[in-house]
Amino acid sequence: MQLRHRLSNTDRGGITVTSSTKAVEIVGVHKHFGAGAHKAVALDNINLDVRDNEFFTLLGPSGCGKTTLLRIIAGFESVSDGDVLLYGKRLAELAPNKRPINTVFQNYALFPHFSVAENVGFGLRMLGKSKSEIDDRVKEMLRLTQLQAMAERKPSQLSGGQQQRVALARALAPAPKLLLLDEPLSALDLKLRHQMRIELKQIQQETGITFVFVTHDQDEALSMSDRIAVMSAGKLQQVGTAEEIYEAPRNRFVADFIGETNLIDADIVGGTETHPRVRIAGGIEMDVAGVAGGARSACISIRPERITLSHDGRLPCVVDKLVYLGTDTHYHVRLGDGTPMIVRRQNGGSDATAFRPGDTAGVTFDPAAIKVLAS
Amino acid sequence: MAGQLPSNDDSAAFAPARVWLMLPTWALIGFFLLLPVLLMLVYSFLTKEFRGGVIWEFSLESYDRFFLDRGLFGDEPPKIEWTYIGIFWRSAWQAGLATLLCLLVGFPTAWFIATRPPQTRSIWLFLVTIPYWVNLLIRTVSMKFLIRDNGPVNELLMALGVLDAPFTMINTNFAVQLGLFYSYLPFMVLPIYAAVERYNFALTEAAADLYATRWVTLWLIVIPVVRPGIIAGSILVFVPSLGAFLAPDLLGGAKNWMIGSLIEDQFKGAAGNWPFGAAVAMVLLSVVLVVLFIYARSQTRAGAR
Repeated sequence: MQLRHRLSNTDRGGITVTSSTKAVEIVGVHKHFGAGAHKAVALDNINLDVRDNEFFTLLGPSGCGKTTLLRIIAGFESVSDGDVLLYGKRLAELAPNKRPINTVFQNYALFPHFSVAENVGFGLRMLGKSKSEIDDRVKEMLRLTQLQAMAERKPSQLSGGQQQRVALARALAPAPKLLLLDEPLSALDLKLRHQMRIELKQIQQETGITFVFVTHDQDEALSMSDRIAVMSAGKLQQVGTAEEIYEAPRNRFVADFIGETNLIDADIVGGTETHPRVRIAGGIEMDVAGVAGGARSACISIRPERITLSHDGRLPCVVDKLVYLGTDTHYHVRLGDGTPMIVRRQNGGSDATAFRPGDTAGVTFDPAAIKVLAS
Repeated sequence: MAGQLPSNDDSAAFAPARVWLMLPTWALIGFFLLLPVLLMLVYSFLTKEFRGGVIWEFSLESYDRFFLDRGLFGDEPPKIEWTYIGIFWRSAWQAGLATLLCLLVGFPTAWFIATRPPQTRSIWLFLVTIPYWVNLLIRTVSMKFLIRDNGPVNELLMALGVLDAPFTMINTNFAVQLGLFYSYLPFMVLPIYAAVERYNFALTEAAADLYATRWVTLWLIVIPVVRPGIIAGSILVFVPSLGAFLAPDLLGGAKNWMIGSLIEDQFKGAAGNWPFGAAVAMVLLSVVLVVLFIYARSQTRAGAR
């Protein structure tokens, strides 16, 4: 993990500089549907690498192109332009049934007339494996997914969570070079979803298979992935570890989509290219890290948990309202010039000073918590 | 015991009303299904009257005539009569072949329609059903005119130089088959369409993802999943084909009779033997019931899955 972390620090704008083996290389992929006036761009110049043995997540809102990209890797869609390579081999010439890739489909797509065991063994059967080999492998997969007792059942006799495991076991059984997962947890209830996150990650580490996981759920992405590619409107926004995209979002979209943040307009009043000096509401100036690119104004991001609310805070503010969330409380405050901000305070602390709506207080934050964003 | 629940008391109070509500259904089944079948059953055991009609006297004569050459009641041992069994056999294979051909053409047609965009599907379905706005008799007679020796098909083939002399199609088994196929094709297309429309195409992708070729996917995934539609369509083609009399009468001529023609002749035609017609109809009904029974059993087994 440590090594991986260091390597991925060199990621910038989808161009990955890495020394580890590449499982998937996506090179200049464009995809559009329709033509002429009805032409819709689904993918716009996607470049990214997935490393061997990595849990890689494509994250973005619905319609961002992440599923299209997954279907291109699987072979169900073709590229309009560009190339997809699997361990250095071009995939374009290979039909879906010739690619050493298996998929866990969004609604599982289990064969309704086959038993669980027959579903799991289907891929091996198609590869022409012997019956004893299939039986052994099916048993192993059912054990891995804790489905031993369900082997003879039909998919319709299983719960959603069990069906999800069958889909996973079926896709893992042929030991693919790459496993694609298309929002596999979205149909499960919250508790099961949390449990499956841990199991999926564990299975990925046990099997050593490279996973490409598609989701719109940032919690899922942050909790499981070695690296995440954030996508929006057919474009790659940022690639990095969970920590990187959370702590150092490259642009406004990523900062806003991943977690909660305060986005505040600021003027750039000096400093250098890489350490600009910004002035925010109330005339407070501070030196921050980030690329200003010569612009006069910029958007800055401060996470709610990086702000302290106190009676002697540096920037005076008025408390608007409180949202109690169990583990913590969100304070919606307004700065002197009317700029709204959200401050997160953990509940149950010994010095829990209560603020009520209408109270005057002050907010303080470390300049290091501020990120200047490309808009 | 059940009376302890108030809701059951309520429904008991409604019981007479429920009997009245059921009455139209029972009347319908009684008058239009049970009564005619019972009448046929009774007639098949009666004695033939000279000019059509029956004498009310029990007789096994009709069944004897259908199955046996030398009767059960003669001096010599009984011998099987092959004439009518032969007609029956021809009916069965004509109907079976029509079912197979309808399946081979109907399945791709249904697949094609079900995979069109939703807005255009109804247009295709409408096109399939258009011939049904015309009476079957008229369509069959039209077919006769199309395929006769100096009809447009032969004339076109001769004009194109494909044929030197007319190719005789009329009054052959081929003509009967063509008539059956044409008459009942939509009965195959519509149920298969309904099944394919519900088919989850992600299953095809899943099969391809798991290394199955297209043919293997068709055979192992698609056909088993849409099987209820295929079976329903096959029954809807096979059963009426088995008893068809228009196509064999008008297109097949006297040498290519099917069981329907035989029955028709007993009631309406020169033969005028009602008990024998009734007996043949009962044999046909038994065969159809056996086919339906096999279907029902396969359905329950599929349902148990």
